[in-house]
Amino acid sequence: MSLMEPLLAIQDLGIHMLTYEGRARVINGVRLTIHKGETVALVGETGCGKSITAKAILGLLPPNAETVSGSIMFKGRDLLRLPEEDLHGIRGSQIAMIFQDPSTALNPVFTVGEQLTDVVLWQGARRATRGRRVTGAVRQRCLEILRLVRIPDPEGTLGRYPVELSGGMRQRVLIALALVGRPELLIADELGTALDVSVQDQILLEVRELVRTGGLSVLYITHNLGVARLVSDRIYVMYGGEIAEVAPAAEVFRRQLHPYSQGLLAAVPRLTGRMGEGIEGRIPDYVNPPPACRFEPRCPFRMEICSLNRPLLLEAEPGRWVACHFHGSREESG
Amino acid sequence: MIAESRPVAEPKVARAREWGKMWFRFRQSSLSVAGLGIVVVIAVCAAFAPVLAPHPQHAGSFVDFENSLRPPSPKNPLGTDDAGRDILSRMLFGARISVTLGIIVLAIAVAVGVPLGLIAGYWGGRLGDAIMRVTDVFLAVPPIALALAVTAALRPNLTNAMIAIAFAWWPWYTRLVYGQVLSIKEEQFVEASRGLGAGPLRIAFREILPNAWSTILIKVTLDMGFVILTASGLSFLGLGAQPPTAEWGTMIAEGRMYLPGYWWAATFPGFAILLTVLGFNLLGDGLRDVFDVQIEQWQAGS
Amino acid sequence: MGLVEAEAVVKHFPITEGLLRRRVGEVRAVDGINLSIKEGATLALVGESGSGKTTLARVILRLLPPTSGRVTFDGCEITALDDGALRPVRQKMQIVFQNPASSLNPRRRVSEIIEEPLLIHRVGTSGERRRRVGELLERVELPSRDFMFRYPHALSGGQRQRVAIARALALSPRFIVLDEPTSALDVSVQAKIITLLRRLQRDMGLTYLVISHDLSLVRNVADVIAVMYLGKVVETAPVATLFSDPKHPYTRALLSTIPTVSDEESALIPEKIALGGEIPSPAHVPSGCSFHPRCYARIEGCDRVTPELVPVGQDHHARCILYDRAFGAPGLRGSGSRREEERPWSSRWALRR
Repeated sequence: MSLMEPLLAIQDLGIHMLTYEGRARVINGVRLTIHKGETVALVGETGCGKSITAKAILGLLPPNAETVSGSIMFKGRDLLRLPEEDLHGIRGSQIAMIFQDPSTALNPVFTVGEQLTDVVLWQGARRATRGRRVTGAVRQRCLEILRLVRIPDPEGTLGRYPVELSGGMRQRVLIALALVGRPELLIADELGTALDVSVQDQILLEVRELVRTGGLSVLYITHNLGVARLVSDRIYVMYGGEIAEVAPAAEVFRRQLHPYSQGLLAAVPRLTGRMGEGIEGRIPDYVNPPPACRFEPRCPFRMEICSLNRPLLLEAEPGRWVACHFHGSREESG
Repeated sequence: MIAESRPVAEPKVARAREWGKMWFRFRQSSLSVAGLGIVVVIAVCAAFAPVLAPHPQHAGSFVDFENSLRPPSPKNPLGTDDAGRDILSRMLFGARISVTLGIIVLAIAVAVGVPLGLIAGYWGGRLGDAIMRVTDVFLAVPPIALALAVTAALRPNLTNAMIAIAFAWWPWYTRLVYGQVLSIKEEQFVEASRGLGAGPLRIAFREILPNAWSTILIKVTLDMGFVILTASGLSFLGLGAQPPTAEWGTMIAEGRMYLPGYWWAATFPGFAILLTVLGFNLLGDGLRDVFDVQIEQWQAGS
Repeated sequence: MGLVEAEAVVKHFPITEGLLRRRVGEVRAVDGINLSIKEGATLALVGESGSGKTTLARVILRLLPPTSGRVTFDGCEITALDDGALRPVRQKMQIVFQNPASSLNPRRRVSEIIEEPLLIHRVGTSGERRRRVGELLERVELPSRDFMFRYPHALSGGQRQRVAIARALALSPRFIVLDEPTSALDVSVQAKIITLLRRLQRDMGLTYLVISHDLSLVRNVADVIAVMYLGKVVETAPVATLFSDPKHPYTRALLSTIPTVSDEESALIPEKIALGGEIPSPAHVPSGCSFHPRCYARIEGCDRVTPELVPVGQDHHARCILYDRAFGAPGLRGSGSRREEERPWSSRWALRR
């Protein structure tokens, strides 16, 4: 790991949601860092809290959510404690998000050009004092960004409405919209999973190329382990609102330390014709979560301590962190 | 599976849970609760008018010129009108007329409009087209104008006002249900049912209609206020309830002549209308919050 | 002879314009398909959106009438039956949809949903039906006591799909179409549903038609795979053959884009082939071989001649000019070695790279 200060550092994030059943502890002490130029994947199943984490970074939590602990440091500033107007300045220009569904995330009544120009101008307005706003320059910037995301015929595309574009093209326009403000951190929520495999593959490879050339940092939020393996440098496995395991992507697919990661990977259908049985039970009840380890009720290796003490996210091997007593105790004995 | 092992889920328990959840959603907005409060008060007033009214005999053609146009006082909390009748008492009886009228009008509108919308939306074809074109013609005329025309053609009284308003109101339900059916028809559970071999009647009434009810209920609630407003409007113009019936619109019409000196005679019935429309609107919005969320996926914390 | 047979099935949707509904074109969703599914086996239809796989399944179930062609179920031609005559056949053919959140009526309880097919076909008394619902819930591993009276929104995704499966099983069908049965579910849940579906198939002798875009999943559930592109089957083979020896350029490209989770698997798929562009709209099918505008192994003539599905191996067929003897491709008979068969297009491909 680099000694440089990370671009984004989430420490001990805790978020509760007020629901009919009571106070749901949906995020419980989440820790996550992203360095400059790094691509990190936050992997987990439905309801594990990965999307809420992304929303917390952008300050877009729903009104019934309450942040109870932690900090989200972005370039030395705590996003959780920034006033809304400062956050507004960061969103879109320094942190951008690519939304999941390309068919609904674009406004159908404006052309691609209008939507791009809007973002360029809005960001220009922030720096307008220098008087660099020239229509020609804005148009140039729009064309440049469309070329960057490999849209054929960028000139023509500027004048088209979203409905006139195919799914893959819409996804590219969404990426262009996110990139046009030259953000430093890109958050991609299930990028490409709404598209066909051959198009998804193109898009993911293109984004990887953009990251490599542009020094961008990316946080992928995904449930698709194959996609995570394809695109990311490091992987955070999330379960029940907590980080279960952190590891370099190449290593975690070879050997998983946390029993949940093991179960998850075993469940993926393989081309070798092997397919596991899945994990028994279901995600924890967030209102009354298991008292210590949240995976304990479903864990095949559970021990007595697992229902007594909450396992901390500890470095089990260089660069590999895991929140599991099984590894803690083994280390002590060994 | 730990949380699932408790032996609940008898229908009653499950139902109580559903209601609890809905009430929780509803409660999230204090305006919705206020709306519900207003509606409950109006309903209680309507139901128990004879008991609650300090002078129940004043509801009709009672005359006491001695006490005419008295300002609000302990004896007549909202004052008296030109015939010396207690305005509060008359307003309570007015609530009874308005609420009954609203219910009957909307019952007719739903009874006529919903089946037509269902037929037009589900079976479509020429019959559907015909139904929708007729509906469009009705929708092109403002309901109050249409109601005015009908009452003018019939004899002006409360029953005819009711018929007139219902006549103007059903097309809105046809339109609403038509749109709903068109979208629900495309849902996968409808196709699933067809795949199982279900006939069109079964699909229309057991699969599609139950999913349209919540929207219809929201519209009924929102419309209740407007129907009452329209009825009062007709009465105000002399085309609905006739004096000496204690109806809010009639009361305003009578009290209007004494404005602004004897302001209470027209103002309080006016307030009653305002409050009723507001109450039903807030309640309708609250119901929308409840039902919209219900239809969506049940999210975090389940 | 298979349990389900499709012969030259065509389904075109007219495109109309204006008030008079003038016909201005047609969407060739399914364009001449022959299929045969053996009793107790699983056939997987694989393809991207717009390939017509879902339409084909609907035609096979007679949820849509075909434009032309025949579908037979257990030797009985169902394309010619009217709604009344179809009812007994419908009992034996069921479908489980992709998204259980939308395939279950949100206003009905689990017990009512599962009972519905029994009611529609007037099976048993109410007591018997109730018992049957309990039995079906047990069969899909949901304790009936807990789930009977819930509404779909009070269930998790996996539980909903189990309810949908229970409903499909209610009338003891022989054939079930599984339309992307797990694509709305998480992997750990997907694995459990697949395990359940396999066990049901074994215990009840069910025949499955699986529709999926997930090739890794299909590798694990299917016996035979048919790859579709723009309304046509471009390649069909037993599952092991298709993955070890894909012939059609499209199949190759599709296999090469599978996101894998281990090095072991990465070794199994062809070297990455990035397909340009996207699947065209079935309203504007390209001339000749419909795949030619995106094909990396394209040769002279691909845009003019429409290749037929020709045998390229044991139970293995592909629709590509490179294998079609009618256009001068080396035939299979006598050619012997696989290397020789592969030559025509692999050399082309090498040239283009």
